[in-house]
Amino acid sequence: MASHQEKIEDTDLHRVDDRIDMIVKSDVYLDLIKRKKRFLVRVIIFFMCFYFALPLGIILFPKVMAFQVFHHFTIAWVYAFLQFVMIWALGGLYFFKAKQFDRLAEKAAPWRQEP
Amino acid sequence: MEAGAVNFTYFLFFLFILFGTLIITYWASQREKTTRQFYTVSGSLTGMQNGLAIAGDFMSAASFLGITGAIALKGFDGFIYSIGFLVSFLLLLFVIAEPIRNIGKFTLGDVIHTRFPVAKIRFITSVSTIIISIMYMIPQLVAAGLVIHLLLNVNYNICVLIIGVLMVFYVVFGGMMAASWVQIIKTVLLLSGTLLIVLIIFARFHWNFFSLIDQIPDKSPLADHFFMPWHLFDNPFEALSLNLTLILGTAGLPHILIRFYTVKDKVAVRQSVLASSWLIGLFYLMTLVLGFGVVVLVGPEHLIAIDPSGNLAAPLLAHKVGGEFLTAFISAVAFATILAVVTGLVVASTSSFAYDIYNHILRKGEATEREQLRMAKMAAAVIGVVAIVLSLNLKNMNVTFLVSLTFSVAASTNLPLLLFTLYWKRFNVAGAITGMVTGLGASLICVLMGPIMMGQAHALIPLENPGIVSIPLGFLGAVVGTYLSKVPQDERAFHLIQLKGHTGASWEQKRG
Repeated sequence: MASHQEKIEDTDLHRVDDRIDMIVKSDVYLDLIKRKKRFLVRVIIFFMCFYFALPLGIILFPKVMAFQVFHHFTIAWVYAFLQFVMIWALGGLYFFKAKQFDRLAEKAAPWRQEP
Repeated sequence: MEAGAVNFTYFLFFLFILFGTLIITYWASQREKTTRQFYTVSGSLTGMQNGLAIAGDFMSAASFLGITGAIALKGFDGFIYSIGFLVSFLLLLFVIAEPIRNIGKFTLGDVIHTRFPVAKIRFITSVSTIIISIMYMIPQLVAAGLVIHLLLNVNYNICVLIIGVLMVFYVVFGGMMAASWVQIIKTVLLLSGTLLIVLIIFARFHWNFFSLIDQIPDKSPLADHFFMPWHLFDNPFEALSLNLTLILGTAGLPHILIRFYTVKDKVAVRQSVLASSWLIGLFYLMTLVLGFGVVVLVGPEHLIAIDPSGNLAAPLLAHKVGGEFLTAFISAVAFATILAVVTGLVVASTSSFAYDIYNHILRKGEATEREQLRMAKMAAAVIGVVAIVLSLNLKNMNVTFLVSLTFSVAASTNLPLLLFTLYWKRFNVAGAITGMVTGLGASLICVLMGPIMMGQAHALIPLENPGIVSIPLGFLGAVVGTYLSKVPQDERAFHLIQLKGHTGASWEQKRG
């Protein structure tokens, strides 16, 4: 694995810094960061709200959450099971989205070598 | 289950686990003796293997025994625990796992040090890793002692000693490889054992899940209220605080974070997190069925009579549906579960000490492989002794409380540090140090002023789980420390972190 890593010595420090400066100012890289941030912020806000809606729903709307849907399972239980669906669905979504980000990342840093 | 003499069937199963893990350790010890192998299995695990290992590292006795008991005795609130534990993996997946793998090499210290290349940052990160790992080891060892004492009738102190010695042994001779494979095999055993009981339960109810559910109100003292919340949490702030702590805590647990260094690239990291979230999710759905099974087939009164904490719910159920043989299997699985988790914790604290403190700080990065490995092994022994001694003295401590305290400390100290290091341009060394100190201090003060230490009636902060107070304080401390400091912003360091974190680009360079 070590052979794949580019080893830059002290004398090349400026060269590396220049490279980094060039990449982080490039349009492709900025586009990648923007898209990733947008996706991550949205998806994190979504899952936090979805998750906390369960305890908050139980506190603020106890009667609604206690409504029995089938065989003693209440809306709270159904919502609890939906959390599992949410986790797995978002995980899958991320896996798919991440491949798009990988493609952008390769465009942004073409001489990047995978460790 | 018989009280009195040690039951031979159980003992036999425990011996199987013991020999199996020793064989794994021997096999691991025959591998190349490098630090990369010791710390990270040279990055050679596949995504699926690491997923199994992460699941094994994460699912502790609290998950298996504790949650089953909590569901059986308290109904809905017990299930909430599971969901909180599981949702935390999303945070890990989205913003933590890949950047850690892309930026660091062996430890969390590497990640933070890439942005702030000063020794005290590495030191403070390592100290936090060691403290959190030891804090988490104690409830595991205490639970192990109590459960094995109940099952095998062996003296508590001896149980703790045996588990403590074994965990050190695995790490000293097998490093991360032994830990990983013990975890992988534990996950397979745990899931198969649980699935077996689930299938037997379903078969008993003629594959009609709802006929199992319908019997619960008759068998539970809670009657129909079994399905309602508020049997475990008595106030909303407590519930919210626990939820917040669970969802944020995993992303700050060092023994989970270093698992991402055992795979070869960021795609494997994603596969690992996804695989573990599936395995853990399926496991929690199965423990739900187990909990229901305990209510209907064992009976809550019978469970409480044998063990008021509810931790023996799963073995009792195994005994009911599968007799002594299945009970012995499940008990041995619980033993393996505990071993797997504590071994992972020893690896995390050991590797952090040997690599961050010994190699980088004390020896300025000049320690040889042999010296580092020797120091790592000595550190493992010392950490093991500390954990054993503390556990022997904390026998009566509330185990669940210690676990949630650890999550609270992790979420208050490591999480703000990580998130701000990776994503906040303005963050600086002062902020990092202030944040860690504030987070740790806030967690400890909340505990000292909480109901566990001061009693329910006199507590100044009436929360058993202080997360809702300490976590925001941890973040705030980091923000305030950053802004109050006069250190100019190092934009280049942030850009390097951002570039490496997001793209996986790797350069090795000597920075000052």
